[in-house]
Amino acid sequence: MLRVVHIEFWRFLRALSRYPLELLGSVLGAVVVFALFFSGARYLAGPALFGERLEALVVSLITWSLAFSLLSQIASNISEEALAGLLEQLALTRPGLLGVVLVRALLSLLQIGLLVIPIVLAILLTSGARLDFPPLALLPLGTLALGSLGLGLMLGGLALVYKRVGQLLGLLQFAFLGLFLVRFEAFAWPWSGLGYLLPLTPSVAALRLLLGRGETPGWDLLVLAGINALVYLALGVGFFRRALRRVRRQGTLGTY
Amino acid sequence: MNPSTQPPNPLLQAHRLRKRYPKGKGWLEALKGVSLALYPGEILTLLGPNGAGKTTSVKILAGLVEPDEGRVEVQVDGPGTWLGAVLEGSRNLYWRLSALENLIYFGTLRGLSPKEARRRGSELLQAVGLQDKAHQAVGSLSRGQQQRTALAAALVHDPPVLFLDEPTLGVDLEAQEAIRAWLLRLKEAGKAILLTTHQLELAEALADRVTILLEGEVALEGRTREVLAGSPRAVYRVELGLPLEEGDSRRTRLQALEVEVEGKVVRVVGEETLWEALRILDPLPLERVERESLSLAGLFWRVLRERRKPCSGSST
Ligand SMILES: Nc1ncnc2c1ncn2[C@@H]1O[C@H](COP(=O)(O)OP(=O)(O)OP(=O)(O)O)[C@@H](O)[C@H]1O
Ligand SMILES: [Mg+2]
Repeated sequence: MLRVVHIEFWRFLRALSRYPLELLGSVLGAVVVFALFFSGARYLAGPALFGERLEALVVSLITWSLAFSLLSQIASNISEEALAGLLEQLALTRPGLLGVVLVRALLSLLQIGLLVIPIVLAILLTSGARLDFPPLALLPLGTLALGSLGLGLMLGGLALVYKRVGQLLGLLQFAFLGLFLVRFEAFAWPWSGLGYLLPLTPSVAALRLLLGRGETPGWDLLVLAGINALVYLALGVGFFRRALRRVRRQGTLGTY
Repeated sequence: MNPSTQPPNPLLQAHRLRKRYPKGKGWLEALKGVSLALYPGEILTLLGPNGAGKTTSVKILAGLVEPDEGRVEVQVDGPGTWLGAVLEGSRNLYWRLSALENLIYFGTLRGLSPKEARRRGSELLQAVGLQDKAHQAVGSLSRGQQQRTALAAALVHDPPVLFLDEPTLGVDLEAQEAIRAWLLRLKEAGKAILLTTHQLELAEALADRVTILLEGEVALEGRTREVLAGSPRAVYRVELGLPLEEGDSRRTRLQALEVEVEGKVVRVVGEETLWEALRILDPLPLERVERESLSLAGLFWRVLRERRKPCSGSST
């Protein structure tokens, strides 16, 4: 297992050293988009629009970019490998296709963690928001990552079957942004409860409280975030396995 | 099948594999009950025209396609790593990585330590004559060089079973020769190899066993030597002392027996026919009568022709 992590990391660095501009481009792109978004919004609407909600908005956007990068990286990596005709060779390995995908997701997580730092700095500088970072925040960040992994596996399963998922990702991006902007923690009980059934919402709510307001969320919310993440992870793994089985029956694992 | 001369334990056995794919409103029967066995130290060559089901068979054996019916028994350990495969029509390699990097990567994913994988990788690239290209990105190699790298990648973890689906596609003659010699060495080292190819000379040079697939069915299978020699309807070549004239009535009588006449040479299929033909030819002087040693190519064409005759017009 460690070997697989090691070799995947090595492969990533190798590819990076040959094509460094790709990564640089994606980081700069994200930084510029967020910076423009905030400075533009501030310029147009003045600070009054955001008011005390500014921090909540910033946290929503950061969590959204974290979660969405992870799940879209998983799905688009599978699409890429399908295009390159490598899915079959990856299936014929010791960890198998699911194993390889999981290890790569782990590395994506690391990479996104590093990438998000400049993005966060850009957002903070241009928006003027202030964020806390208590250690407890690592917990909902972890559940956010697990839940996104589950969703990524679902999309990855779709990518196995349909090969191209670019358009779907584009659509989902906005659906997710909407979902992440809704402050379920501010709703009355039955509605917030229903909202927390949606993917990742309890993790995002906990992070908004922790990072944005410096409040400690109730344990019930943290536990809920954990359960929510595990359920979506399990659904993701199940879905991916089914998709793999399906393409093996159709004989289309290697086709594009 | 005659089990007498076979070594007792096949490494891999496939029993009555069936696979059909949806096609339009109906089904396309890609495999209709195909059985195969791979033995250590032997090369099984799978022959057949386009669409016969060779690739489908290989992928089912490798576990990449699930059969509708039938099963595959493997007598080797190592989930996912007991085999190495060069698959048809896919790249098999990362184009952005160098040849050696690909070997290190796949070797490690198949259970070697990165160090071992690097050592094996360098050795194998040398064996396929690509040591100069080891550090060049695979995408910038020529088609044949990529194919040779893919072959090395299939072998990097030293698997007991090899599936090679048209491994010499796009490979030049010299490299083909190298691959041929190399496959023979691998066979001698005890590997069980399944090879599909459209190059009948390559098949002829390598095949210990041959299976001919036609439209998803095994049309002929057995040890190459036996199917070539002991084929029940052997071809005999009769050389006459004098040519048979065009208007000769014996000519038409021979043609009624489906005997081929060409000047001094008469070709007869099957022993009974040979005797009858000889009776027709009776007083003519004979130079020699011999059984033609049939080539794999000849056998392949004959099987193809015999099968096509009853159901003519089937196109692929
Ligand atoms: N995933 C699939 N979906 C639908 N039909 C398929 C699929 N894979 C193969 N087929 C069909 O099954 C039949 C057998 O294909 P296969 O690739 O096994 O042939 P082959 O013997 O390898 O041919 P070739 O010599 O061209 O490589 C063909 O008619 C092909 O169109
Ligand atoms: Mg084929």
